[in-house]
Amino acid sequence: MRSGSSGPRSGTPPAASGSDSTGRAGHSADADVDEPESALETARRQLHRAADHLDVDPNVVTRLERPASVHEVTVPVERDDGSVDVFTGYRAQHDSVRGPYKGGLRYHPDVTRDECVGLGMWMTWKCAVMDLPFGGAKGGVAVDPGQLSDDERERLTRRFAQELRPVIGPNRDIPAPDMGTDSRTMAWLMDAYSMQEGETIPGVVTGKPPVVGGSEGRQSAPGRSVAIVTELAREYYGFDLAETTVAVQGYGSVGANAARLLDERGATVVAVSDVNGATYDPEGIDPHAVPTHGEEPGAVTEYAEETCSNAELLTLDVDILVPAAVGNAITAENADAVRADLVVEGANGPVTAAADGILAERGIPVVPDILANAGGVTVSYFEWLQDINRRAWSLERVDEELETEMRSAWRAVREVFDDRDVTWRTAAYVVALSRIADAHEARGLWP
Amino acid sequence: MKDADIDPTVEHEYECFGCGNIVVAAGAPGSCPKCGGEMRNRQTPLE
Repeated sequence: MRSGSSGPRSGTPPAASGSDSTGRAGHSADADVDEPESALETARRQLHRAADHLDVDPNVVTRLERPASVHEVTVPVERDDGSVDVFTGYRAQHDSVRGPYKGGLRYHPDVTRDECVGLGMWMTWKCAVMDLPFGGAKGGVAVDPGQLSDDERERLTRRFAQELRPVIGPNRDIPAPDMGTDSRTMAWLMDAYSMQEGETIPGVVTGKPPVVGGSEGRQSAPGRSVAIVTELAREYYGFDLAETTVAVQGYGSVGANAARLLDERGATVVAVSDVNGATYDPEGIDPHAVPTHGEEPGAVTEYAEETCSNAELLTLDVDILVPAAVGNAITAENADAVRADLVVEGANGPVTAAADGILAERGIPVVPDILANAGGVTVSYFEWLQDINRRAWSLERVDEELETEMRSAWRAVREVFDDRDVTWRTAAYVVALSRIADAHEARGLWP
Repeated sequence: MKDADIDPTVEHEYECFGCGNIVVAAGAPGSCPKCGGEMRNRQTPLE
C-alpha cells in the first residue's frame, strides 16, 4: 500500500461520509462521534469540501447550494371505500447544467421537501462523477405504501404523474424507482404521461419492466460496478490477484453480484454474510455455490462449517472489505477494529463520517459509494439511451458499456487522488464539482 | 439513496425485474413465481 496516500491533507478535515447519501440522518464529518445531520446539510457540506480543493467561481458554488426548483403538489386519491385522502408530493430539481434532471421517486412516510433537495444534490454529484449527461433530482410522496391497495397505489401514481407532468419528460427530468416504488410504478407513470402527451414516451422514466422499455442488466448493475471498482483499486495498490482476499458484508443483489464477479476475475472471496450471519473460509469460498439471501434465505450461514457474526466479518484480516448491506455498518465504535487494507463501499453510506476519519488516520483507504455503486444510475442512463433511440441493447452490450464507463470514472478520480493528496471520497466529489462548475462557467448565467 | 433496514420479522414487497410482479413475503421469495425473473426488495433504491 502507498504510505500516506490515503490520508487527509494536513489541516483538512476527514472526508465526508457517504452516509449523507442515505437520506436518513447523516453524520458530521467533523465530529468525533456520529451525530445526526440532515441530508441537505450534508450535501451542502460536501459541496463546500470539494470547492475548497478547486478554483471555482464562488458564484457557481452559491448557485449550487440551492435547488433550481422544488415542486410541491397535492395528490388526492380515492380510497377503495370511496373516501378521499390527500397526500403531499415533491420533486426537487437541483441542477441541470449538464443535462436533464435524474433521480428516484420514493413513497415513504418520511419524505420531506428538504430530504428531496439534499438527495437531489447528491444525484447531481453522482451523475457528474460518472460523467453522465444528467443533473440531479429527487422526489416522492409522503405516504406509507403499505397502507395502500394495489388499485389505490396505481391511482396515486397516475395522479402524481399528472401533477408532475409539466416539469418532467425525457429531456427535462427523468424519475426512477426508489424506496417503496418499483418497475410497475414506473410503468404506470410512463403510461399516464404518455396518454396525456398523446404518444408513447418510454424515456420519461427509467427502471421500467423490459417489456415497456426497461434495460437488461439493471438488477446486477450496482454489484457489477462494485466489482469493477474493487478490481481497479486492487491493481492500483498492487495487491497480487492470486493472493487477494475479499470479505463481503451483505449477500443480496449488490454483495452477491460483486462477490461472484470478483471470484470470476481471480480474487479469493473468503467471507460473505447475510442478515443471519457470515460464512468464513480462509482458503476461499465459491460465491456461485452460495445462494443469495434472496434466492435462499439462511443459505449463507449453512454453506461452510466456520461461521461468524456480521460484526466479526467487518474485522477479519483480509485485503479488501466490501460492506454491501445497509448504511452505517462501520462506525466510530468498530472502525478501529477493521483490519482490511482497503474498504470499498458497496452499499450507500456503510461508513459513517466519524469512521471515515478514523480509517483515514489509520491509512486505510475507502473507495466511496458515489463511485463504487454507481452502476445503477449508469444503467439507467443506458435505459434512457435505448428508449430515445428505440433500440434495445443485449445484456452483453450493457455489461461492456458499464465496464467502459466505470473504468473512465475511476481514471478521473484516480488522477485527482494522485495529484491532490486527498481521500478517494474527496477526490470523487472534486471530479464531480469540477465538471459541474466548468459547465456553469461555459454556459454563463442567463440572461 | 437510503438503504433498507433489514428486519427479518417484517413482511416486505418484492418486485420482479422482468415482469413487475409483486410478492409480499417475510423472506425473500427468490425468483419470480410468474416468470422466473430476479426479484428485489422494493425498499431498496436503484440509483
